[in-house]
Amino acid sequence: MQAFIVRRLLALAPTLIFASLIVFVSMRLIPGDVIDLMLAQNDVSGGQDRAAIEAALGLDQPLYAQYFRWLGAALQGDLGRSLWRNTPVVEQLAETLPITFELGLLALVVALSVALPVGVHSAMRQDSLGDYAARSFSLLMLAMPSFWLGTLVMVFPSVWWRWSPPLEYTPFFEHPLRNLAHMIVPAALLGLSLSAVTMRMVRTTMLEVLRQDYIRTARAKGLSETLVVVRHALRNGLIPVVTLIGLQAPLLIGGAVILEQIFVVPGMGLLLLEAVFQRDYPVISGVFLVVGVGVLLINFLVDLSYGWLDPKVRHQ
Amino acid sequence: MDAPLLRITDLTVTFPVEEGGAGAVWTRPGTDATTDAVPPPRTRKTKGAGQSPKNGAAQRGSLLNFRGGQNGRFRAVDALSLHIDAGEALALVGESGSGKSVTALSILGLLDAPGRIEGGSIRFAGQELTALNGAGLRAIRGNRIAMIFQEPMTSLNPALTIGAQVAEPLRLHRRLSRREARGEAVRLLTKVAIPDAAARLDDYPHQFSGGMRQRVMVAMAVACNPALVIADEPTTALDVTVQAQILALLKNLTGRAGVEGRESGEAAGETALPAGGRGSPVASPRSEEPLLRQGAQRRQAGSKGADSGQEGAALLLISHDLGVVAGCADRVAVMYAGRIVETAPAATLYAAPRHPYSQGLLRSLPRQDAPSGTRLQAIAGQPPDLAALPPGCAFAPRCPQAQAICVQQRPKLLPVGDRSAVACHLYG
Repeated sequence: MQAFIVRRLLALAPTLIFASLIVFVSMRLIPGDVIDLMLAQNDVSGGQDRAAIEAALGLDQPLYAQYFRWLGAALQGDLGRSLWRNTPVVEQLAETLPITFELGLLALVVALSVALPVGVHSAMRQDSLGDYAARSFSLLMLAMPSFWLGTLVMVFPSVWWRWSPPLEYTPFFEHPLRNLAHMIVPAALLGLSLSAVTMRMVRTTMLEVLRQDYIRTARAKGLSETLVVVRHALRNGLIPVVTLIGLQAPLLIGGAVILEQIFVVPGMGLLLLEAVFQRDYPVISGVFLVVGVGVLLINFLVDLSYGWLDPKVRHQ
Repeated sequence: MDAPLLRITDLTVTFPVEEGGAGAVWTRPGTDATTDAVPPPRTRKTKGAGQSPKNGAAQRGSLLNFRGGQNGRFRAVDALSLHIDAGEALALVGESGSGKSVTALSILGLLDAPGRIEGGSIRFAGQELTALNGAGLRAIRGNRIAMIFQEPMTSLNPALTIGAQVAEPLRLHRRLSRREARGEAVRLLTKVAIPDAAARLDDYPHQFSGGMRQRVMVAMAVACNPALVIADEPTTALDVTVQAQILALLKNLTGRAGVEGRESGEAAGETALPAGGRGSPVASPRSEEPLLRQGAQRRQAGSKGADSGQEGAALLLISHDLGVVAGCADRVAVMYAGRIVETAPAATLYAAPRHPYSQGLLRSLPRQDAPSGTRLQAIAGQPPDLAALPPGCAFAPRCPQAQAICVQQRPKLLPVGDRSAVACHLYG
């Protein structure tokens, strides 16, 4: 098992290096580079200034040299400094990552606490009114992008009831309740869009599992329908669901970027958005490195969970 | 005479005729992916597909007046009556689709949703099972009546340990503690001859062979000392040597109230099994004698080995193979197209089958004393389409002795001789 984990972790490295290369190059391809922005904002012009700034930021070197310098530093835990604020990128990430992590975790909790019970209920009462309602709801959530929903949630309550979701961020350890009050709205929106797909997957796999012979065996033992589902069906039905959640991790992060902007959550998404607008290359690379590691780790955890869910995998 | 342990009277079960299904061959519920219905059998009457908007009473009337195929439903089991005495081993024999499994599932209320009990009564130990609600049925399932299924490879939950699955009915019905149930599970697994049972408790089904898994199923079934064990084709998926072991095990563990079983036999170990392959399950009409005697020997071993509390457990053994049941059953009931066509004590049926279908079944078995190269005698024709049964005897189109009356009038199951009955105009 340990060997398996080590092997998997080592396999992450090439993926991450490749991903960072793509990000590094593609950011440079966006028209309008950081120097232009700086010059425009500082209202100075002249070739000398430009060259001086380029040299100061290390942007005068060829792209491959810049990349390898960045990679070499990154391997030593140094992700460079923000081109604008001159603070270490690692510091900025350390500040914002926990906030986004909290948002993602809350969203996952919301998604599962909706998707699991509703999906199971839909499967047990296939083609009932509740099943149709749940399926329609999930279609609706699939069709509505979370940024649009987020805007609606911001606008309409304030028009109707003169109330709008709180937008002031409070660190969790300072005032947990106030923090949750702020985070729960974007988390719920993110979680609901995730739950739509997950619910349909739960329903489909549960329908499949409930047809299995061992479910009939469980019923023949005299187990109640609740026990049949909880003890015998759910665990077998969870494997595809867990896979799906792993695959949706990038969507979750993408959704977080947008919702953090709408609900003014000072997380990694907001950091990334600002960095992209300002062409703050080291910050962008740093954020994507963290996102990449996050996505790969989530899928690694998904793989590990197969072992727990499916004894056959464990014994291979 | 005491009331039998289980008495089924005029049980009728219908299934929707599958649309576009020319021939509408009935398939085992649960395996049919096209069957679009899953709500659990919590109520016995479920809205079925193809149901006409008429009210229930009118529909029932029309179904009783007309034969299969009306209202888009056909009768998988048609006015079936049978009984099992306490401790008796009854074999229910017939081809695929003759309604054996549906009958078994109906007893426990486990019929999958498109199937529906249309009428009749199932009385078990004074209780009307068809009238029980979910909780009432659950108190009986796995406790008073246990069931063993055909496919040991898929009937155990792949995600739970063997120990947990065997202990489950004990925890549920006997309210044993985790620890007690674990100990009891070891005892049960040892009884079904799982070597080193204590060490294998935490193994998963995929670490067991098919024969071992069926033993686990048997252990699970007898866990709560049920009064009746229903075994639905328990050996069909197993290879021949393992078949004999499982059958012996079933007899061994259900015990027997019959005369032979009560007689003291040679001392036998608790888990004594006949050597693999000794009891070839393929019987021939001429060689049924040794087979029956062998069965008796197993029973003797069984009554020694089984706990006193388990003696008297009745067995409903469902099989398509007359050879398989030869050594185990006290009585045999032969089913054809949803009805019982003949029932008789095992010895009588094997020695002198009355119904032409029973005769055909026995003739189609391979015989040890036949010269090599002899072709098996198959029954001509195909099993009937249950949705379009002929008005007379369902077997008439294939029957070598069919008369004019056979295609006009459906024969009733009438008693003939000792504990026997046959539904055939030849004996009317």
